[in-house]
Amino acid sequence: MKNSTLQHILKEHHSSAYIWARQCCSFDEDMAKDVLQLVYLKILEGKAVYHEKSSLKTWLFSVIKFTAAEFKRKEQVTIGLDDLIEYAQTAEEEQQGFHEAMIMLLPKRQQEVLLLVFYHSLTLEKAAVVMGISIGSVRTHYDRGKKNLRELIIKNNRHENA
Amino acid sequence: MPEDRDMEILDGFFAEMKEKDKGLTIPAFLPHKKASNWKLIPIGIAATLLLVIWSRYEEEPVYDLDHDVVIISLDKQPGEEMYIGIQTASSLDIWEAPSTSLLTEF
Repeated sequence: MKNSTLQHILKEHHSSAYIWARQCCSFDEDMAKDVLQLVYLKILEGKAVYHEKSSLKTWLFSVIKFTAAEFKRKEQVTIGLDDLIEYAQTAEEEQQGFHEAMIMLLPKRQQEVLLLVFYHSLTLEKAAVVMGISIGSVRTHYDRGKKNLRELIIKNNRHENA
Repeated sequence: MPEDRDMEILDGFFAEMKEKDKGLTIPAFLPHKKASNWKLIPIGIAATLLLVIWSRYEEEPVYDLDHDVVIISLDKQPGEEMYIGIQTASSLDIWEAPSTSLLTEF
């Protein structure tokens, strides 16, 4: 695929790619920008090649997911439990990023599958491709994720109504 | 149906999340493409050629040898006082050691 065509397609998916990158980077906007730049470089330099085995969006999301994981490993980004609780409390207080805080309370795989399916409207099969795991595992994470998130939402609603 | 109720809760949650994310500032699409190394090769070759041409056609510096040799001599004209003469030359034809007089005069 020509670079100009590739750039054009990437531009079309830029918005959703950025949002997915942000979600993969624990909602850190600066890190998401860096990761997305790295993804574009990988693609334009031919280090990540689209073989048309899946849809372009699925492939792009997969490259973003693995680049973000690689970036975090290199930068050794760790979020402590205290930071997470503080983030959740602040977010709740300010009513900003409340959804992000709720998502972040879930295990990583559950976060990913729920975001891919509910937020980005991907099928479970496509989510499995993006996450690089089997469809069986995706189904398990999906079911557990739904259950856990539903409980968190209900708990939060009860807390708000009390 | 509890399953439908669950889906309703989750759909509502993500719909709200999407709505909030509409306020996000999406960075401009500007992939910074690194200059490929092979594009620098012609520039490198051109620069080398220029250097070679410049070094070949550079004019040889002209060295003025007039001031290379300074002859300081102690002369005396008949009936005059001794004086020190200073001359510059590109070469020295005759050289006399200062101690020659010791051999001839003593």
